[in-house]
Amino acid sequence: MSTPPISLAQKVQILSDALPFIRGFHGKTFVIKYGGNAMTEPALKGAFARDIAMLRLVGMNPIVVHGGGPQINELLDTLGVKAVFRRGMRVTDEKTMNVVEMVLGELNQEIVGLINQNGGKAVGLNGQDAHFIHARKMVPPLMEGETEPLDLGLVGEIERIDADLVNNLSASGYIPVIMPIGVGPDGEAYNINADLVAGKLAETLRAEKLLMLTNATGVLDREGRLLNNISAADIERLSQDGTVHGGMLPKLDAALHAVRHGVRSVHVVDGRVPNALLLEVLTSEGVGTTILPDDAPQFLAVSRRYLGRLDRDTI
Amino acid sequence: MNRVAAVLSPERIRMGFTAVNKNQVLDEAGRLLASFEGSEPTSIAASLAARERLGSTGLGSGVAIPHARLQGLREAVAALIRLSFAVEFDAPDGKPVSDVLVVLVPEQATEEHLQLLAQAAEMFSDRQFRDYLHKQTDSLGVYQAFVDWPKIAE
Repeated sequence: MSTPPISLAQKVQILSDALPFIRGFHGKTFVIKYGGNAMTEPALKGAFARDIAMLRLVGMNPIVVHGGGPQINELLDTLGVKAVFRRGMRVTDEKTMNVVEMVLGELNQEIVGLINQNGGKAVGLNGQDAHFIHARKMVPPLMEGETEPLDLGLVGEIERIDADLVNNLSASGYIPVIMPIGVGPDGEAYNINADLVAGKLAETLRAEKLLMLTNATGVLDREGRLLNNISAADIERLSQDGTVHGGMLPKLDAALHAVRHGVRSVHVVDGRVPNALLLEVLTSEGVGTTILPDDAPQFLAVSRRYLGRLDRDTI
Repeated sequence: MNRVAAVLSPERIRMGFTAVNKNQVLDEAGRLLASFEGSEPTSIAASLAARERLGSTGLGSGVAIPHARLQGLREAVAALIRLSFAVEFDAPDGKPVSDVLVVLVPEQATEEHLQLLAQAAEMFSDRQFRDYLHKQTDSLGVYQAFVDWPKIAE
């Protein structure tokens, strides 16, 4: 895909247009869940790292959380360990956990390196560092016919996140790049879903935005059309009536929780679009779906009250 | 013709206005609409600002619909201001705003006027409409975009 050349004057105009966005989001925290194609295709990887460095260098506080994605299965395959999924979660025995940690660690250093090559100061973190992600073993609720809960091995859920470490790094100009490993009370490491870590971290930090890169155009309605803007209540409806399913469910769960606990907006971003992050943050139109809290300003409800006397006339 | 286009006119479309904040946009809206309605620019701007205090009329995606009731006004009237640079508007998505549709309605507002605002919000929630609107560089083009909604020909 080639884009038509633009003149220097147009370039300057584009930079000028970005100023109000840079000003509005200066000093704001963005948690970015990095995954999907954006993490496997070399060109997209490079663009992602540049976008992150750029956001930081113009004064925003990006924080990256990444998963392991297809790379974990690839290594398990190579080592002849069979990947087992139950209810969408990876059953993680000790051998699998070693592979998970190995792959995550390698990816983490790769992301850190790419961001640093682009002028950012990225620091790789794992929930073990300063014990900032407190986790416990995940015990799924009993399903019908089960006498004891499903044992997922070392799959964990988050108890809480200490924001200090991440806040301190971010305040000093560093870009935290976090892999989703948490630590239990006895020091045991747990494998945690990266969407959940990103969501909980955004909540804990009271982030301006949680941006989730996916391999989808965004959240779609029944007819497959993109929904540009939805509320937390819409998510509940879309999940209950089955419009949203599969891999989008855990993302939307995390999104729902985040917007209801202090994150101003969540964006399900199409990570296959180059520079999706810059488009989302520095232009008026994003690429994907924006999720706002239920109590976001309701334009028409306020207007109805403002115009007054209408309730009597119409309802 | 839809409700919004019916109250808009090319003479009340101001392209390329430069403002540094929301107040300057509302002041300009006062000037733009006063010349047509014979009201005081400052009282229009003050009414618009009073409505903003109840909650931002920014919709997100760079658009806003400031509006107010105005004493002495007989029919609803609208104007559009295209800003040279986006301005902070406390929109729900936190993004600054560059297309501002200003709507004035009579003091005795009716359901009809709420419908007008609802239709304006519906137009602006249409991504294709927004994209088409942003491509327009003169007031006639902008006006025609409103007239043509919901059939926007690419």
